[in-house]
Amino acid sequence: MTAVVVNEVTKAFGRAQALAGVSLQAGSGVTGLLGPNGAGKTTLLRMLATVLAPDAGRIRLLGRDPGKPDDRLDIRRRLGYLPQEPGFHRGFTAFEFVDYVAILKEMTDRHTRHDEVRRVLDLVGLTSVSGKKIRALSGGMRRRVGLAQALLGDPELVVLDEPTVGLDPEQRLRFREMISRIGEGRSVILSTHQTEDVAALCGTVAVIHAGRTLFDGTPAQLVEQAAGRVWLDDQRSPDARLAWRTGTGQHRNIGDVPPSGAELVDPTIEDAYLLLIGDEVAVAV
Amino acid sequence: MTDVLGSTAAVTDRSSRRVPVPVALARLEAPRLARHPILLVAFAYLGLLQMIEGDTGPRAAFTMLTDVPTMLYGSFVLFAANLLASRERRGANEEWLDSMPASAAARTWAAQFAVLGPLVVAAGLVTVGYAVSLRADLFVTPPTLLEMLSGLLPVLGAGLLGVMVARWLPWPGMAALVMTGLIAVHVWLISGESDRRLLGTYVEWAAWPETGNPGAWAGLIPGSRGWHVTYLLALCAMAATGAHLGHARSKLPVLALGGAFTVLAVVAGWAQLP
Repeated sequence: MTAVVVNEVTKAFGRAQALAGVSLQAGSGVTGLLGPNGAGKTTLLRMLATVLAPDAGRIRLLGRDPGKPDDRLDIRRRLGYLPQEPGFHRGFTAFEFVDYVAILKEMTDRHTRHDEVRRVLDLVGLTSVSGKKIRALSGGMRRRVGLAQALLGDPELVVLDEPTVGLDPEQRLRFREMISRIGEGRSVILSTHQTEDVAALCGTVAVIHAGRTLFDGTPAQLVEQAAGRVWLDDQRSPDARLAWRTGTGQHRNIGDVPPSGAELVDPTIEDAYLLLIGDEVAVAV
Repeated sequence: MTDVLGSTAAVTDRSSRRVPVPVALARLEAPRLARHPILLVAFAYLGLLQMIEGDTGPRAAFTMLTDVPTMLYGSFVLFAANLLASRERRGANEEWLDSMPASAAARTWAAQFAVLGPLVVAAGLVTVGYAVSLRADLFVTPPTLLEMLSGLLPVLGAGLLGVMVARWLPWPGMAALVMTGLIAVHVWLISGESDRRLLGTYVEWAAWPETGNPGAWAGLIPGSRGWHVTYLLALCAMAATGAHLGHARSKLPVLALGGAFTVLAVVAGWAQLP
């Protein structure tokens, strides 16, 4: 079954059009939502987390319609959600907080609930600090507490909004490993603006920009979009849409006009992403 | 850390939902609320006040068990319950928690049940105080159960009001504003010798002596204790119902229930007067 079906979804907040006809599908494994800040990723993820309704379009999650109260409740019972900025109850210990969320996930039998809380804390490697107050944990550990609560009850659909943002490289790699394993046997929707995460983790990827889906396919297909359009040269090409000096002193030129005498090289997912969303992002880069 | 993530089976048993979510949540929240820092401050304040004023005598022993819990502890409970019930909004995680199967109404119920924590603490202290005072022969007339209840129920009411304020007036300082309003109304009700003092947030059943030691016994004021307790229960129920009005799918039954409790409060408030 396709866990997530999003069809021509729109959403506006006042005059700001957050989503302008997004469509995508996600099945088992990790699906990446790639896009710059303000692309509409978080708005879409809030919809997938059933806390925001679209103005128009259609969403099906785990075969149910989140617009119907009974279906929505069923989806919520099978969903794990980590928002971009989870507001932890900082006076709680890690265990107490996950325990609190477990009750909200209808695990009311104390004995089995505590077993489940210990399990998910173990999954994210927080057993040794489970008795520590959340305010005393590092940013990475707090993120792991957030991930632990999202895994309670072994959800069929896990929605993670930029889970690796603000983490140091070692923590990011650990998170990557965890998300990769979480994606084995269930659907994970991962929002990010980091192309390396997508390349490393995702079986499918959707690129969203200005509230629209620019691409929906595999990372390899995304990379293919830049095939024959990336060159290494000693000089910055004036015709390149994007160009930067690499660590070796050569210039990486991306564009449709080949610089004379330049070496055509294999594109990366980052090249393809930059080409796809165009000059607007180039300015930010 | 487990070697292979996901290799351990989830320990879930949603089929055996014997305990409703609000009750399970309240079991977690009630002890937290009972030991809320604000309530620890309340105890310190009460102790300090007792040391400074230190009224002794049968009237003081009586009022310690019938008025003080309301007047002081209850005020602090309002703030503590308000902070507990507004925690999600203040932490900006309301939307996150809305993605859980348990509804916002369940969280409100849980906050309301959690008020039982401080109430149990207050009831325990009153019970111990009653036993000690009785053993020390401090009473001329010991308080009845209804008189002690009339001191304890406003603690419950204050907590429920704190939850209601968190749902309806979710802005900083609103609990303090409501408390100020309560005090103003109460001061107006108890001013003079009118019977309207029975409509206040707490009632001093032991009459003040005309002169001399304020701890001295000067009898009890008239008024129906039973109807007064009913009046307080109706006010508690109004606050509890009001908190749910905002997120009730169907407002009419909640409004009808609130209306019924209001009528009961009016009737009992009238009937308690001597």
